[in-house]
Amino acid sequence: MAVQRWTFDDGVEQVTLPINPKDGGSPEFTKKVAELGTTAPDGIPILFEGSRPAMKEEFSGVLHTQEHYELLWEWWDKSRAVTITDDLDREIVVYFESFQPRRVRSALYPWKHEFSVRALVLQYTHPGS
Amino acid sequence: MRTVDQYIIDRWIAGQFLGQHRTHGRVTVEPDWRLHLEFGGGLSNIPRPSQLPYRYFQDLDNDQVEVEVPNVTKIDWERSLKSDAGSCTITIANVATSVASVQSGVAGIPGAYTWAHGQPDAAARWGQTPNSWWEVLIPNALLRTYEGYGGFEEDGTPMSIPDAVAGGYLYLTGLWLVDEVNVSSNGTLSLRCRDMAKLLIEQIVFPPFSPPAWYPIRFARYKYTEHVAKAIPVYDSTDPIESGPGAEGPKYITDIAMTADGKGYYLVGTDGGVFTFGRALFYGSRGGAGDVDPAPMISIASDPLGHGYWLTDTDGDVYTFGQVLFYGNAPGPAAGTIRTIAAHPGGRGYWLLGADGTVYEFGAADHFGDSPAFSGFVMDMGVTDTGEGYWLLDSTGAIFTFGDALYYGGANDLPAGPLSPEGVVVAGNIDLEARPIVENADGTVSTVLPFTIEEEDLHVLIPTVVDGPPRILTNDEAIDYYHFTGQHLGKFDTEAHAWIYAADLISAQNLYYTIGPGGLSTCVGMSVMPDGNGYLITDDQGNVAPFGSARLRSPNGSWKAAQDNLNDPIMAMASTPTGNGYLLVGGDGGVFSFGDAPFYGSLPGDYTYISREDGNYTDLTEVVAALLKWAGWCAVPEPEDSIYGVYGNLESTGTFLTEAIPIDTFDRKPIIDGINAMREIVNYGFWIDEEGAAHWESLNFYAFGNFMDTGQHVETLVEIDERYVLSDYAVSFADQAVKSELIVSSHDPTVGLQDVVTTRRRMGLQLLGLDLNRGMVRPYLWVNDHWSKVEDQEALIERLMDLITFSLRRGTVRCVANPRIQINDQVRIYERVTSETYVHWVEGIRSSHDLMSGEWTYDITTGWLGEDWEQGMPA
Repeated sequence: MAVQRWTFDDGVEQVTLPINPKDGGSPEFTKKVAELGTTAPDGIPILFEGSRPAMKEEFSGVLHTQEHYELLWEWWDKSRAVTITDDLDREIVVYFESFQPRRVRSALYPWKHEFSVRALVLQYTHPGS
Repeated sequence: MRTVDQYIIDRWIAGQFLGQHRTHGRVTVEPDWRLHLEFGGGLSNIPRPSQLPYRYFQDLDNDQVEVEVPNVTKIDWERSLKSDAGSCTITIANVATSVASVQSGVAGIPGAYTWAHGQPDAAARWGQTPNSWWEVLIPNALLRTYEGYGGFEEDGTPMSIPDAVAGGYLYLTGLWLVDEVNVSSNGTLSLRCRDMAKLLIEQIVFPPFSPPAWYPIRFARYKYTEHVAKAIPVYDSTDPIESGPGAEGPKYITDIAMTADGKGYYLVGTDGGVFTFGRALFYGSRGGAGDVDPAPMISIASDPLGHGYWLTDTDGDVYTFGQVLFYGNAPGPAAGTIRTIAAHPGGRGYWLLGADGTVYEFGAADHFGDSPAFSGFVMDMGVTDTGEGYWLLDSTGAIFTFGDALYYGGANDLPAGPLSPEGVVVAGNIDLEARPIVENADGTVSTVLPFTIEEEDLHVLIPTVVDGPPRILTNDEAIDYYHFTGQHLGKFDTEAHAWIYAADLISAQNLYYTIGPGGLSTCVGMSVMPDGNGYLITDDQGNVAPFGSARLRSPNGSWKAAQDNLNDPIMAMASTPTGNGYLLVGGDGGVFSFGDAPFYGSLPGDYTYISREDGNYTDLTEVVAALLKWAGWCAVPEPEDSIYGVYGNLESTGTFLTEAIPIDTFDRKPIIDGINAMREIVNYGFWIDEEGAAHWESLNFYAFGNFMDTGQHVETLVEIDERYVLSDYAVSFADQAVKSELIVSSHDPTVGLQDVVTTRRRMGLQLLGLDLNRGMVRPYLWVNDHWSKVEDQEALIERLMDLITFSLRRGTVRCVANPRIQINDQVRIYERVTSETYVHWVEGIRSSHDLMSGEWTYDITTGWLGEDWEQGMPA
């Protein structure tokens, strides 16, 4: 079965990644809970739940070509939200926060890099919800 | 205590504010708010009373448009009975973060809610454009904070504010006016605010705040008007009365009465005319009453509380004037016999005296007896200071005592010397009834002119007037005469006792040798000393005899000449409230003053009188209400009511000042200063609540329990329990307010004024059974001429003791926030380390709500209400 390629869409243009990231791609789900103690040794714990912090998402992979490199840089640089559709057909609206490429020596691919991308999740619809 | 949904009560002690039950805070702004001069919605056609102008800030039909302020991260507010205004700081993240804003390319750029976002230079440089928050979050914007628990949909999104309020999840915790907006480059915008009391602090009393016709503001319970009589009334017993009471009878002045404060007096004539002098207020008369009452007026009694007077005629029909009450007329058989009316000291009753000695009692006055049968006429009566007894005086000068009245002598048998001298060790051996007489230039006589010498630890009183022929010796000569004859007037234990006896002896001797041993002629009147330990009697020639603690006083003016040329007999007398002076009145209305009795005029002559009408308030609460209505708390009236109310709860004080409130209490000062001046008089609390309503109420430490927002009193307290909600507690036990003695006085008690009323209470073990003063002298003195009655001073001292007790133990408790708790509430605190189980009174609340972490706590400052508070009062 053919692997569905990841796409980026900012509402103006759309691109397909030549190589899907190999790690990551699912948001981190976090709640914020603070605890306040009572003065009684047998008192109950008082728990306050605060606003949920912004979800983050990270994915990483490898790129071989200069075009792939420049594509990722260009989309990181955008000031607009980007909808990522991944290979599981999940749509996640993100705002790219960082793009960290690390060059890897390769005789075959001069532009080979390992990269990691971190993004703020602006909108996520949990599958089945 | 606020009414909250049971959900809030249950969640508060559950301790788990998670998920759908997490704490919740929202803020709205009303962009178009301003103080309005007119009510909208067709209500401006309601006729107004004269106290214009009115302003209002609260649309009571909830027509105001509220816009929610996004990105609120923190809400902190503080409210206290010690502060003029509550304060609040609201922090928001000044960043647009919605998907739409990111789509449009402005994600993460601070300043979206800055009031000047998009101003032309910023637009040119950064491409900013003005948005809907342009000039919204600025000083004097009106914000509302809503806080509570829960109020989230199943998917976690918050309900709309109206839905959350309707569901009992969110509660309005404050109405705020922005003082200062702080915007920083790190993306935060904070709004520092005060509650609606800002309107009372920033606005000053100056037109057009108050009606121009009222400026400068002057509140007076009474309005006094001086009138000049066109006619000069002449009273002459040979003149007949042409109309009114006693028509066709002789017309003369028959009685005199001093006002309760001694600053004026009344005369009454047989025709029913009442004449006022000094500060005596005119409340009406029976003069010219026509044919309704044939009996002549005979007596007047001034209300001991200063609220009016009673008149009576010879039939015993009583007429009331001013605010005194009617308690009844004499029965039919008394017709034509009544001689005088005397008021009960409490002002709630009176006695009528018949010429046959029958006493008729009314109201609070009791009957203690009638005079025995005799040949004369009973002319007057005097009442003891307790009201539990009286003296009757007959025309011969005989005195009859009843109840707790003591006998000090009668003018029908004048003694030659004091009857019961104090401190005498050896009685005098001089015959006082056979003394040599030396006439003085002022018409008096000298028969003793004594002085004292000390001999063998005793003070000997010896005379300088001797016989053979009657002459006055020098002191040295008198001493030699004493050593030669051994004659003295008495030997006393102290010099003071000797001189007191000497003064009394001189008075008695003067009367005895000028009037004669047989006493006064026809006695017509008496007046009682304020201490009830003596009285004065006068005859129709103006000769006055003192008995007991009473003293003869020097006349003001040439009394001797006047006495020798009286147009009409003396008819009555009245003593001053100090007992150091008295007035005599003749039948023609001539008034003669003695001692400290003031002379304000007499008849005939130019005649002016002062009338009193109601002023522009009757209760201090009305003063506060007027200030609040002008400042913005004017509430829409009920449809059937044309009176504009106050938005809030104002409790009557039952108090007013007899003098006008000074202009500088209000003039050109913040409105809150005037309200605080009223608060200091009655010790009320004043604050603005969560909904912006004004509260002017007695503080909630007179009974166990709380007042709900409906006004209902309940014996329910919120319990701040260490096991569930209390996270920190500190209590102090201090002596800062402890005093060794409480002194309440109408005037400075050290100046030496004679009409000062003072009540003192020493405090030894009254405070928790502990002697916290340890012998230190630290009195508390409260001087205010408003507290001039002993019973009022004692009540104030009880209140001061309560306040001192409450201040001994003060607490500061941190607990989970609860919108049910308000200032002026009572709460119970349980904490084992401090052994705290008592009921406390909430003086202040500081709320800290971090919407990011969800933590919401209250820091409450309290005053302890004492042990056994459930029984009603502190132990």
